[in-house]
Amino acid sequence: MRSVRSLAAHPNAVIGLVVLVVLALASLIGPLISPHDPERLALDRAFRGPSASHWLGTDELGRDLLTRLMAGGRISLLIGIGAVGLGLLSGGTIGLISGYAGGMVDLVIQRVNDAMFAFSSLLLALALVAILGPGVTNVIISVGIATIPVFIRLGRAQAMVIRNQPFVQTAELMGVGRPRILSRHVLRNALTPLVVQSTVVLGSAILAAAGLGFLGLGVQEPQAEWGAMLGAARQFIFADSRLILVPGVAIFLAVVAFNLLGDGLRDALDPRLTVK
Amino acid sequence: MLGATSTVGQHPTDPVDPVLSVRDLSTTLRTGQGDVHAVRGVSFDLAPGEVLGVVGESGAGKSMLLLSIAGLAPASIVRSIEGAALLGGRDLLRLTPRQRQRVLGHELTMIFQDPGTTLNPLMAVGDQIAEVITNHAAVPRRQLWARVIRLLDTVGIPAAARRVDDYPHQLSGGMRQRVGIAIAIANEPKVILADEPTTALDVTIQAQILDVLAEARARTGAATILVTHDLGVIAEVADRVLVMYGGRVQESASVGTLFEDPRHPYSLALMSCQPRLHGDEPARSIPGSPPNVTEAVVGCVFAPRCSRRMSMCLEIEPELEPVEPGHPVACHAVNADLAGERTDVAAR
Amino acid sequence: MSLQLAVDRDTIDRVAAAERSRARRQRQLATARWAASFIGRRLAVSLLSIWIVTLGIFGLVRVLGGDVARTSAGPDASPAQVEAARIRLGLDRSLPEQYVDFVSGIVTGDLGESYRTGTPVWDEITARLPATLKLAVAATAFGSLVGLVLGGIAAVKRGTWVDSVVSFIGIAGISIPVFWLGLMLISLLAVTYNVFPVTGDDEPLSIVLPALTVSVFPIGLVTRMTRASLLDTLGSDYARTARSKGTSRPAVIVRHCLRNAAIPVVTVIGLQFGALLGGAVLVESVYAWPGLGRYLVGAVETRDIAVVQGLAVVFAVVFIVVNLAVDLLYVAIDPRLRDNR
Repeated sequence: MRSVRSLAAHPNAVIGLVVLVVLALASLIGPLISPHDPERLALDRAFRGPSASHWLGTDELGRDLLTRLMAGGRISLLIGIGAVGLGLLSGGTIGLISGYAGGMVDLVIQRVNDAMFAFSSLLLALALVAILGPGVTNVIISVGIATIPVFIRLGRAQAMVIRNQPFVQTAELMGVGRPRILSRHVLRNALTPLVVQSTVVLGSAILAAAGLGFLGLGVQEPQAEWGAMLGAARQFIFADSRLILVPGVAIFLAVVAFNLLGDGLRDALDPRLTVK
Repeated sequence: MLGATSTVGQHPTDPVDPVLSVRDLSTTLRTGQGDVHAVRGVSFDLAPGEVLGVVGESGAGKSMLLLSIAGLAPASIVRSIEGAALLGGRDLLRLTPRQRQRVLGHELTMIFQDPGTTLNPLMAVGDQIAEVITNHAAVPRRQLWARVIRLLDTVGIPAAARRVDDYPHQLSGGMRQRVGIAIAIANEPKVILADEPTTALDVTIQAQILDVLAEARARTGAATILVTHDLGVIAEVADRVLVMYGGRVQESASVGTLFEDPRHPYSLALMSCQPRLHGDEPARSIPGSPPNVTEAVVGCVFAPRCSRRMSMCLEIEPELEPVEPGHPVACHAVNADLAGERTDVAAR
Repeated sequence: MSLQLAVDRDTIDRVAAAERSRARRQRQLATARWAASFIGRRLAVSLLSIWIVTLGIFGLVRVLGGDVARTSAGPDASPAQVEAARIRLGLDRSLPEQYVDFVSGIVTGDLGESYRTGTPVWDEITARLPATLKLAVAATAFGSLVGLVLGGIAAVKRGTWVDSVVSFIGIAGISIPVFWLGLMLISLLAVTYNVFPVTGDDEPLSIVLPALTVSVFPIGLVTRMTRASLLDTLGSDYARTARSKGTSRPAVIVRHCLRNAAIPVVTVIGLQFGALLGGAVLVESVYAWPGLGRYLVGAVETRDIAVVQGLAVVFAVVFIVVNLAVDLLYVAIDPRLRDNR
């Protein structure tokens, strides 16, 4: 496919993809093949540096850092995909309807969305966690709802572009019912760009989830989550900064990878660089 | 007299020095799909005050020809520009940026196609005209603005003094193009390069703009190269015409000759495509599509669409040969016709 | 025979100049009048937005909050205590009545009392708001400035190693977790070099580390947007026209491209303000900065809905004010958005 070829022309995107694949594999398979239990305490082995049996050393409660990192990766991915899925499905649908319908419906939805848009992912998620309480599921719901304003806007933009395409106008003229046009034509064509744009939102969802974890409001102990690991290791900042460095690097790499991938996908699908 | 080819296109009895001399201009662009030879070996002379029309389909390299002469082709896509473009003894293609800055807007100016995007939307039109003046001379404020207002008046903008501080979006497309013309004539240029100046405008406005352009030329005595795909414009304005296809000049003739006696198959096809006001002939189009510019050219670039195609045409690219003085054509079939005529004459 | 009136060219010019001045004065007057009406309209829209937000906050809390009275009274409260809490919080009244209470409270500055401490929410907020605003403004100003410069350099030096480095900074900036960066900065700078204070807001230099940390995100965002936008304008038709007039490349960039490129950048600075405040919340936690962020975190931990609600309203107002400022800035930059015929 031409898009795939032009994707390869963007080394950044490829790097992002590779990093993500590595992270995903490590997160999914790692905990399964690791000899260590990410949640079992072993206080006698706490604060060990990297060694043959513990490649990244142990944390403050003696747990293998690498295994916890991989388990944390799994949770982060789960939260990210869950939240973005929630946002994409609900926000995207509302956005598509708003953009396609136009008129009063569009106006009202836009005004409300503009007001909601002001809040960033983290603040909105914080407020929702306050109401719902901590825990993985609630984090997914909170971060997911927090991404809805973005998806409404993206969906609306897509719908407005597709609405003006000749094939849609033809369908309308032929008398095809609007709900049908929406579900068959608009949705199908909007899906790809929306999914592409989701990659960047995934990055910020992971950041928001990690932020919640850091504050102790997200995933609860003893579950491993990168942000929570950072928050727990905070008091040892001067004693053993490795415990802070490692999970932070993991978050950073994951988000950078998503951003690189998102950038690359966007460039590859954007036919703006053709010579006249 | 069939051998005079060194100053291609110039009438052999015209003794005046050309104001612009282009020799073998070739521009190669780099794209994602390979190198594109947008302009190939174009040569012509431009006499002072002359209007040279350049006509051809989109993608024939017409715009790139002008941009190459002016040195405004985007550096990121240009691989090379070869040949020479002599203006006042200097080769425009070999100027340093500073030298070019002095020529552009002064002796050589351009008018672009889309007045909607060629003016800075955040700047008043008066400021944009003033810029071209102050770039080349230090003019005291009062004189500067008096000159700007007078220029706007010259190009036919009503109530010029009141509109001089307007922004481009407050003017209609026709008026914006007049501003573009004002910018181009502000410093009394020797050569004006006009890239499809009327294409983006309504048909009714087109005529007005052409009139403004004609008056501006009369005032400044500037020679003009007018690129267009509209033969009607050519008929109205041009003195001589270059017919371009696939980046090359295929035929060059005075405007009268081109309309009465076109020789190149492409020129003939273009003429026959013009919708006729009277008669029942249906509108025609040239079969086939414009060449794929990334593929290397073997033989004549028009051959795939040519009704007179011979086997030779697919192998050797025809050179420009004069059919009569001042009327060179690049076509094997036309050459064959000529040879036939010559043998006919010889046989008698 | 025709009568020829030789009119002095100088006179014509002078008349024209006078006409131009007159037209300009008229235009300025019309613009002023339009501006007043524009500001009025935007203010009205802002108030409407605030109203919609209060509706949303109110609805969200009521819908998702479960039994707020029970949360307030505590998990081991007796039914009687829960009932007392319900009455105290006004939850026994009908929904519309509760909403009216809520809104009138906002207007008069009564956002209720904290479920936990009982102190008025409004007082707590006003005590902490300046600190957070200080941090947000410092970070936005610094971040935007650095971002503009970096993005500009990258666009001008496109394709070179400078461009690659700056682009990497851009992506890193928006990907770095602020709380992690804060901790790293603390462990690096405060301990090893002990130059900047790491907790509290006691000394004038205290703001440096927190503001620096928060500014990393806008630096990344503004760098990317400036680079993209400037590249766009550099390749535009009007930039080419300017070159065809003999304008030098630096002059084209400064005179034509910068202002046009600024528009999307201003957009993005406005849009990211929400994310910036989110970052500020986390950073306040890391540096023990006495702002609204820490207050919010505390309230979320104890599920103090009254405080969260009050903070939501305050934040919303702040955002809407920022949006208004951005809209006004647009109109100042881009004459196409004005209607001053």
